[in-house]
Amino acid sequence: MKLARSKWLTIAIIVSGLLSISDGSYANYWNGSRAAGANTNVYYDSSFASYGYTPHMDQARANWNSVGNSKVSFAHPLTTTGYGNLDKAYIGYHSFDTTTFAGTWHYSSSGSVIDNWSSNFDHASMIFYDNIFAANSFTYNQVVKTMTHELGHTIGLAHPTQTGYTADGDVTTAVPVGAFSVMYKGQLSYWVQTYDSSELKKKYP
Amino acid sequence: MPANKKRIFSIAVAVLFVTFAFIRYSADHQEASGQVREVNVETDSIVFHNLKELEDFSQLIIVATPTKKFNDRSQKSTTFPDGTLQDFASFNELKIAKVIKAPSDFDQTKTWIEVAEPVAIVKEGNSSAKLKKQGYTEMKKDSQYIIYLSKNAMGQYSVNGITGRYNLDGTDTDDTDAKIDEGHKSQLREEVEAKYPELIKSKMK
Repeated sequence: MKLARSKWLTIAIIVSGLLSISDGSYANYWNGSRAAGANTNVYYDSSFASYGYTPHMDQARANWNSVGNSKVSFAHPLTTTGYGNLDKAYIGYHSFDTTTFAGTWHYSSSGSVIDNWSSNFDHASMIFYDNIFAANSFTYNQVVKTMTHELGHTIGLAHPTQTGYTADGDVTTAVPVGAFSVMYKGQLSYWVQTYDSSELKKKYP
Repeated sequence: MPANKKRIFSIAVAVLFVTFAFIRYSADHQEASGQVREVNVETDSIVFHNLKELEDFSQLIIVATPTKKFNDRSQKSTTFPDGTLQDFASFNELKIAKVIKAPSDFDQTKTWIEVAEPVAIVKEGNSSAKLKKQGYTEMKKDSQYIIYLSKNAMGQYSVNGITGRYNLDGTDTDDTDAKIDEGHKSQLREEVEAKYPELIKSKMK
């Protein structure tokens, strides 16, 4: 009977542990992942061609594709037909804000915006604000950095921090001193760094 | 093991399983219950590395206090033609206590102003979600802040993100959490405290 009780206890502890895993991450990527893996398709909304940002996004996809991780890729279908809920990228106009130049919304399969930190997600939308780019005189390299950064979010990479804490109390690992990351926030000109490749390898071993 | 103890143990294990299953179910199906989910969305934005950069970017700097609770404030969002969320904000009516910096066309006799904040309740079909950009939390009714604002595309003043407002009276712990590393918030807060010691009613934690 002692053996039976210890079995019950073991099962209870394991199940409790699994069920309670909800928040936090111990690297600069989220616990949540894309349900179908990180070989993704990115459809460009017609606003890309209208505003002239297609070459920027092509370069951003190439930045990640050149890392050489077989579990991560960004293809670019010219149609949405037959792809289900694929990722979409839009060029928009920010009516309310003056500092935000891009954002990524993660969705469940039913189409609800969900918290990407701990939840697995189905697909994502990336929004880039042309008027904020223009107001802050973004260069080609800075726009490509921004698009590379948002693509990183669509495969679960997070914003690195220096202290290891984010605004909503989640915990990350502080970036090593001297390391750069395309996942840093801000109007920056550099693209995928060694640090980013290594985080990608940890997330998709 | 006596039969009674065995029964109690089995019941305890069963209760444990049911409790965790319920917690998990509740989290997964919150939307169906009609509750407002809080979702932190990832955005990339202008980063202010020091107070001077923030002050230079800001057109209007004031000390003010919100007069309404969050749920009583106007909430707005815009979408792309296919229905994808483009942008969102809530509008906070503030009672002005002091104007620190203002453009020449700003009426300095004004005693109140409505400003946009990057947090809003957004409709999703039959339910709603409270979306927060990068951990931004709304300024609280009756709490006092120093606020850094810029004019948005609609001609309204908008808070310059999570580093665009600092609680002065220690009543908004969402703002004064020392762990927050978002966009150099902690460092900027120290600079604000050093520059405006007369405004600090309660030392920030």
